[in-house]
Amino acid sequence: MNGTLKGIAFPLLAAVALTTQVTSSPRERSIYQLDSSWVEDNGHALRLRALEGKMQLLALIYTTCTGSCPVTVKAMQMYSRTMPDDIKGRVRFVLVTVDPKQDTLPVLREYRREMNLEKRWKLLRGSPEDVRELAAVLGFNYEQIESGQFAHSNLVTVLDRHGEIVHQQKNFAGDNTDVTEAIRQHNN
Amino acid sequence: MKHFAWLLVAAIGCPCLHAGSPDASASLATSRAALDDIRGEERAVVTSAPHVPPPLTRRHATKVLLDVEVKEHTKQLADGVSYTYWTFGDDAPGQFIRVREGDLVQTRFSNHPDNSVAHNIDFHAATGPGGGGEASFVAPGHSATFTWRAMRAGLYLYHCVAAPAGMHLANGMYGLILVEPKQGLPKVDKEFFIVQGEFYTNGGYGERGDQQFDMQKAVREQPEYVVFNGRVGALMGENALRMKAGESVRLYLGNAGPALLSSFHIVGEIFDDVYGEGGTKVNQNNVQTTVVPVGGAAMVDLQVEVPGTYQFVDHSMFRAFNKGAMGAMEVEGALRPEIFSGRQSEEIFNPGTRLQRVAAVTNTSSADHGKQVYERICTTCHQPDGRGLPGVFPPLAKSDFLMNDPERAVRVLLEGLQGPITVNGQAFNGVMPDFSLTDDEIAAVLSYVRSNFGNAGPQVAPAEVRRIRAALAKAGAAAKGRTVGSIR
Amino acid sequence: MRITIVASLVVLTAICLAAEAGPVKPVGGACRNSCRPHEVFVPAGVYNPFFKTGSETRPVTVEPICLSASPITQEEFLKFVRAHPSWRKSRIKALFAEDSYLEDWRDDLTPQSDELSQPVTFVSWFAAGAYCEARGGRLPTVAEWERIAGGGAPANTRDASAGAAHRGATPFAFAMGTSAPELASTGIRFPGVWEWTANFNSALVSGRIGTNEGADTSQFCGDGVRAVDPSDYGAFLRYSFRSSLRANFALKNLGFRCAREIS
Repeated sequence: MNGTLKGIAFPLLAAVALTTQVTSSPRERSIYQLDSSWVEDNGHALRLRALEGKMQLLALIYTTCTGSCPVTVKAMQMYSRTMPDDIKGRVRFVLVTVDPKQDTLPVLREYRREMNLEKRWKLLRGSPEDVRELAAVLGFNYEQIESGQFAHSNLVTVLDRHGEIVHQQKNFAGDNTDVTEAIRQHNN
Repeated sequence: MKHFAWLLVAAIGCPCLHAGSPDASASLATSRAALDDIRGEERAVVTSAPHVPPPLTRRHATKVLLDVEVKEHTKQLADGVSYTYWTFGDDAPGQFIRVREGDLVQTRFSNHPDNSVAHNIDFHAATGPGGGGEASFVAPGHSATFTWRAMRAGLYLYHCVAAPAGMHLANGMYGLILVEPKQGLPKVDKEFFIVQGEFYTNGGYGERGDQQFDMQKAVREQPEYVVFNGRVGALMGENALRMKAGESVRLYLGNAGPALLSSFHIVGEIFDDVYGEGGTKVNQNNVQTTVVPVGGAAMVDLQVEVPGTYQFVDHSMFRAFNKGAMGAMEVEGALRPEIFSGRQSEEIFNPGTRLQRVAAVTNTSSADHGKQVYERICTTCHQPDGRGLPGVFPPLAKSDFLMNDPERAVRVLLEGLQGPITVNGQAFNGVMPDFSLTDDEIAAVLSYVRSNFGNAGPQVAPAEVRRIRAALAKAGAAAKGRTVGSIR
Repeated sequence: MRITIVASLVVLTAICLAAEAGPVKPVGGACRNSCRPHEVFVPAGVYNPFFKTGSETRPVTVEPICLSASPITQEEFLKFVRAHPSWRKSRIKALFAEDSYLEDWRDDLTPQSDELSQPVTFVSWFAAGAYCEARGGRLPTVAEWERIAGGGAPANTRDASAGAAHRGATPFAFAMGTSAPELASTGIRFPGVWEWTANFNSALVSGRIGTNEGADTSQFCGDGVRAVDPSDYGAFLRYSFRSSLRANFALKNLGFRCAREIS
């Protein structure tokens, strides 16, 4: 292409690209646009968007929670166990602590052992601001009510491969058909 | 094992866990089997106050599609009085919804974007957490959809329960939903609905201008307004309920409170059948006034017979006359003199007697007091007729000893009396104790005795007794020797 | 030379912090002066949470901050989106703001001409946070906001709402902010909009009546949090409103202001 054409083509292409920006493409809702930075319990740094590519089952917890968090984790473990094999390979599990102050990496590692979490489960720790932001995007409410204790929602979120929320589960009694159904529908 | 332990800890430690026991799931299976099959779907038929949608004709359960929108807007509460209502739809009360027992009600609940607070809805007809409160809770400019099954027939209130719920109710967020029993309700000629509710304004009743919610009055349960269908006069004058003599009428009643019970009464009518508390059974006949609980309902059936205007009220009368709890029914038709004649004649009435008007005279009341003291203390000895006991207790009747020296009479009552005396020519030598009476009591009983028992003499004033008492006290210990001792 | 500078900074900071700790006000207001024009200095203080935990209230200490004297205006927000195009109406992603974002602006760079000095509304939590970050600050926390602006329900709501000038003002504008007494003379203003907070998603008032007790326990499992003063209905309205929000909501009556931490 000669210089003049380039001079026209590129701005033209750019203009086209800008003006045809779709107002609502699927990835517009991806939580990976948050682009926050986390650390796994094994010490590895992780950008949130590194989770893209696989479906994620995600929950916010803290290790000293004696009430609902163990229930949430058990529920996620049940989803994992009862997931059909063809889907299992495409789903990952993520737990994020809302108490980065207490839940240091060694504490998280201990938690992993206690809860018997599979290796492919990720345990993430981040800054209080990043936790607040992630929670806000998921619609998860939490508040420190005294040292080490939090009042919070119960929530498991299913993200599709692109990081968009496709299902949220608040009640873990009964069977898990809602969750597996959501995974099945969106696992492409 | 460890996992089980965790689960156990969680189950005990947190009320969040809904662990289903085997028994629970068995009965769950049973009640699941009992739910009706849903056939088709239809838009909910709703009507604005005071009208009610016509009785349902379908014989099967269906999915009813219901849209409810909340608006915060200024409307007229009374003549010259405006208030910012929070309403379901355009008005308080919200529209009347009519569904059938077993129906699924898919509710889309919307909060207008111009609104300033979050709202939600609780159907008392729903079985499930919050009656829909959590499921429907939304910010302005958003809506939420949830579906509930009308498990039980009856007349139910629906209202907002967003915090603070009393305020949402007090601003007008309420309405009625009828879940018809499967076999329907007995047919009547006319149906209307009336919902009682209170308004707590910072200005007084009728104070003109834009009024605002007053939380303190609300907490004290002292509304300025108690009204039917959302405002003063909503069911009066040209808005009165209209019907014909001879028709059967059903009124669907609701009471949104938020504080006061309603004692619903139609002046000049009797309820033939009352479905107490909005249930599906007629639990009383021939009722003049029925209670509508706060957050509750009632249905009443009556037959109107005689033409005329019939006011209905909350029979807590000052609410009816001073706070707006009044409406009216207009019954037209031919007169029924065999049931009620109306005024037949008028004439002068003069029976020839005069009525006693009790004047505000201190003597009179003192006489009553004096009589009481006499009967309490003196009759034992001096007898009810004042004649005393010959040789033992001197008479008071026509007594010279009593009447000749008024001051001595006072002293006797202040200190008692013993020693020989002569009364009406008779000698007495006994002991009369001091009864520790007050100045008022002494004055009263002496005044009484001096104008009864054939005696006629001036009254004795408490001030006089006081004076004599003080003088005696001054006279001191020497006087005391004459006292026998106090009796009380 | 460098040591001297560092030492001076350390000393200055120490004076600053020490001054805030004790009852003696800082000499020359070294900390106060770090607030910009249009900002108000808010000294350290105590916030009594609206909801009790268990059976007691636990007061929360709030550090000193500089706070915008009034909510961010349309004009100020316009400057921001000029400099940060990704936050413009046509460019913003759905995750960060819903469709009603800047709904009342004619286009990316055109607010209503008669509203430039009014609080900007129809902005999401993300947009509000981004604005504050761009100016070296953040959104105030709930504790900070409530301490500064959560004055209890006044005896006469009519008087309290008299100052509400915003078009979205309601008879309950007093609930949208009533200055704490010690800040009344600072020029802090509350023109009648709800305001975003950094941790708005902490409130656990769900769709239930009044308290959080017996709230949908499968959704909000907490420690039986309860309201301290159930007649403070302004607080209820605020907490209830906050709990209905999602981070990408852009609402007609919801704006924001910024806080900046000191030293």
